[in-house]
Amino acid sequence: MVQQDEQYTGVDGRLLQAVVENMKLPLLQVARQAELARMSGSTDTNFSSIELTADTALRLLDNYLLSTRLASRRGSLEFEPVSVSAVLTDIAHQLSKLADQQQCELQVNISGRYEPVIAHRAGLEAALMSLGYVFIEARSAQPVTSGKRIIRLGAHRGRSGIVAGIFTDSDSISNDMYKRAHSLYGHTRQSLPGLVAGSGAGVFVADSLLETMSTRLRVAHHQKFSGLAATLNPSKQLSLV
Amino acid sequence: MAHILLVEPDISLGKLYTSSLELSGYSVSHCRTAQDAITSADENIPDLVLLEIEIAIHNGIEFLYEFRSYPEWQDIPLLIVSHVVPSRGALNPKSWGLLKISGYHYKPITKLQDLLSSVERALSSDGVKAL
Amino acid sequence: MNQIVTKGIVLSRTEFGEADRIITVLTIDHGKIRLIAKGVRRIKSKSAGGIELFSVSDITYIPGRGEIGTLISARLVNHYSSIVHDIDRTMYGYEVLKNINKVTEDLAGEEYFNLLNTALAAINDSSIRLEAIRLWFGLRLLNTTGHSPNLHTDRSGENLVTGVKYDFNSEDMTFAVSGNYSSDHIKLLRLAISLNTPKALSSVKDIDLVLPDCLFLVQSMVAQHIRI
Repeated sequence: MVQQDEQYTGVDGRLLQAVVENMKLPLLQVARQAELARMSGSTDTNFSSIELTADTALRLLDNYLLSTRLASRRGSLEFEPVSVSAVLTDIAHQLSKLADQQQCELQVNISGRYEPVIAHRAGLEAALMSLGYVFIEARSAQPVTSGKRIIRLGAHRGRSGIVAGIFTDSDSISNDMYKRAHSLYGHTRQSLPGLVAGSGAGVFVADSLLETMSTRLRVAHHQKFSGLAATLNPSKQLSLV
Repeated sequence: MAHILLVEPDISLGKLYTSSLELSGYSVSHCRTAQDAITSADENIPDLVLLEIEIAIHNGIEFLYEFRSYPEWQDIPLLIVSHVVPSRGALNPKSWGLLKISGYHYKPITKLQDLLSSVERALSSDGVKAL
Repeated sequence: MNQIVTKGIVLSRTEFGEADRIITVLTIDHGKIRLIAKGVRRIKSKSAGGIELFSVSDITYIPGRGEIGTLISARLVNHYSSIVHDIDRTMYGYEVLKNINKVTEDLAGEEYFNLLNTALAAINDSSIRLEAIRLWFGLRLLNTTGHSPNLHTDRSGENLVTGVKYDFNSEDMTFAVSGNYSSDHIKLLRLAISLNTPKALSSVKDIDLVLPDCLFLVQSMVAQHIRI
């Protein structure tokens, strides 16, 4: 069963998608030009920076478009058993360069061994990636704690499923802040002013993606770190031996 | 020196891909339309084709079928390098074997280095190497 | 010389020799034929009018002694040029040509020509959803090849009724009680198989509630009964 989500299929939604699709090309040109300069032997470190920033922006746009595609197909998405630890490890690998550039330390912490969760794999990866971008940006602007700025990709078993998300070693986000952000985004330049300087779009992209899997982001805690996470349903058919 | 036919409608991206391929020792013909690509292949048979699917006038799928309809071009390795998401119906990986597509690169997440590695693999499995 | 004039749709083109092409054409009244198109050089092949894919042409040819005739002239009558503006539709267009090519023998009747022509016209029309065309074409192809599903009675001969959910057996092409298919699914299948063109499917209310399941079902019927 397919439901048409009005915000993506209305005239404004489609216009936004078309504009976003168009914006990918110039970002791609910038990223690849910077990469070519690096490959050609340029020692200017700015090229690495530009390449990384442009690639990050490109991924965010792509993740937004994925969220719109998945939303328009809700009810007929291909769910499969997904290993949360494998996804978090893969995301950490993909975020590592950005974290280094932003002088943050990236960690993966899975409390225990879990059965796979039922999810749309690409959607889950895109959601955690988008969330990761925001938290790295946010944490890098905050003071160090005990000499570090730590971003932790973590998972633990919650009351109603596996809780997976991104956490930091600073008290960055509260329930009130997050709730207010949802009413502010789209209406103000800074939806999460206590967390990040920019719009924090990655949080809302992540939330949209997770919503297609019938879950949402919420403020959560993982071993004294706080952040945003989603609860995912474990697969009843498969268990890790 | 292996010769590559690059079918890429965007001038800037075309120049970028061409420069990176030439840096790696390949010669490149860059075409922006399907018809130009057919003409170019006719004049100078490529060792490998890099193809964007989203082209104006005649799209990359048309080019693919036309290209593969000629016996002497049927076994030339072909990599798709495209803005189009690979899993969407039209470009389901199940179709790849039929059209002899050696690989698919989704542009937003494909670095030049990844592309070069893929080109080298496709050419060396075909027995042709870059100098 | 015995020249034949007919209307046809090109199913495929392959190269033959230095400058010729062999084209396979589904005609309206002479079945499926293979013709040599002489001197159609590759460089000009895209602008050689009359033998474009996704088009209907008036064709004049001389039958050959063997299987292959010689194309004398081809004039484009109708070119479904919008198909190639959309990648998904382009790919499906090629799929339809391939499917028709595989199921038709030399003596293919007018019904195959009409089915193909209508399918291409629909693919060319962006107001008709591609999934609706897939559903319609699959059912009409089954119908034309003599493999229609039984959409009126169940396996035990009882009429299919509302309020009951059915399962479908692809082997004997009948529904049986106790499954996932409701009367809404069956109604859509009945409608689609009865239509001469898929256009009307676009205005079916709430079609998205049942279309994906029906499409999956029809695709498995086609896979089971039509070797393509």
